Amino acid sequence: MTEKIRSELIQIHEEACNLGHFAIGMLHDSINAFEKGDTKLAADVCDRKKELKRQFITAEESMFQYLALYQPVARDMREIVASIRIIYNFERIGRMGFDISETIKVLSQCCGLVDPEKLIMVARKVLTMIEDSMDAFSNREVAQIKTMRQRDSEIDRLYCEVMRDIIRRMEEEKESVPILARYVIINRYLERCGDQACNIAEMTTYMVTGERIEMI
Amino acid sequence: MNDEIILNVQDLNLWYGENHALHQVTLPIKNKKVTSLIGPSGCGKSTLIRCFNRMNDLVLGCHVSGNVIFHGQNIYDDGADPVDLRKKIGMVFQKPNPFPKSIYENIAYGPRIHGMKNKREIDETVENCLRKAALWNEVKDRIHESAMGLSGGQQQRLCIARTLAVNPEIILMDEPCSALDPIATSKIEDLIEELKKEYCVIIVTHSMSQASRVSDYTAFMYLGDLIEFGDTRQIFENPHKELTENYITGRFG
Repeated sequence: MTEKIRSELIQIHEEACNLGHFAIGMLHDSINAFEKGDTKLAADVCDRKKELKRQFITAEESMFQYLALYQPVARDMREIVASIRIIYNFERIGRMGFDISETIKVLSQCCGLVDPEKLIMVARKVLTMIEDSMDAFSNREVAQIKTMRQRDSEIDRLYCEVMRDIIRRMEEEKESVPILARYVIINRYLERCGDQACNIAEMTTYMVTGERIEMI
Repeated sequence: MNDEIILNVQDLNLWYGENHALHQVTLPIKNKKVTSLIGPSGCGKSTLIRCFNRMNDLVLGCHVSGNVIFHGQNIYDDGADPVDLRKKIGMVFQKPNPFPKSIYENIAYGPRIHGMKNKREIDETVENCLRKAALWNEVKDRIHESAMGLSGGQQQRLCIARTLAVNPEIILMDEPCSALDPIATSKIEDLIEELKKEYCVIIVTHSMSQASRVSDYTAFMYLGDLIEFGDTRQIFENPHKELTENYITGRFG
């Protein structure tokens, strides 16, 4: 019986990891679509929204059932509780990928291109943070997420810097305002994604060590 | 003083003949709190709880060293009176064991042998104890009927009421719900919650969920050693010892 319960917990972890990879894939592709102005890829990301929700609900149901049936304690309880919160973060990350892709679809209707180099640089940094948090959760290993708070502070700093740049360019290039307004939104999404990486890192630390830390 | 230590176990060792059953157990038991003793079969938790009112004295070849300090005195000192001790530290067993007498007589027995003679006083004690044990409303119309006619859960609450009748300070419970159904178990657990307002309760249980539900402190024992003792929430959320974690999560048993 114990083996059955243990294998269910392993399966739940796999479901959560699969959801994480799927959501990060959405964000990753939305950033690529943004960088290359690839509306086809953006549309493809948007099409994955339903599957994201399905995987989220499946994982959440498995976790609630595990809680109700086995009343786990100690590390098993921490794993389930942390996973319930982490899959919510994964779902948010996937949704941000969707939202960025929706914005790209609108951007494609605007004429002219405005160089989004700095925004892409922020996006790559955020993506690496999320992937590191994902790896930590997947491998139950906290070493690589210890500096997550500092990395998020850098994202916050860059968010403000990019925002100042965008506002300055809005003043200088009035014709680019419709595009730059979308950059403001994407910049905000990316800053929020940094927070999601920190949330995952916080809960992974709790899951592995039992220690509650604040990274945001 | 709720945080007062009522029973201080220090370096307690116990041998059954050659078998060293408890090793250097040190454990502070706090007043008006519930402490659970958990661990796999044979780990020494029942042996330990039986040390607290010297029930092991009755076991042939049993030898104890160390201290169990109660009101400043080691209960194993030569001058200590085990009968008086068991009045102050009562015990409820795994299987309900009412006397084959009426409900009333089950409660009245203890106070009578301790010198209570006044009938009105005894009547009051019987009612008071049955109320405290959450049994009065169920039996008030038949307290002169045989206790053997009660259900298992009622019998166990009667045994708790019987323990209360001699004004104990500590109530020891050795797997008090293991022979009961979930509803009777729930009533006993509610009762434990009530009892801790006035008494210190120490409970041996095989049920992890019961320990986590009812107790303020939990002690985990393994092969005669006290492995970990702490706040129940800490033990069940983030135990410090791997052995504790492996046991409560069912990785061994």
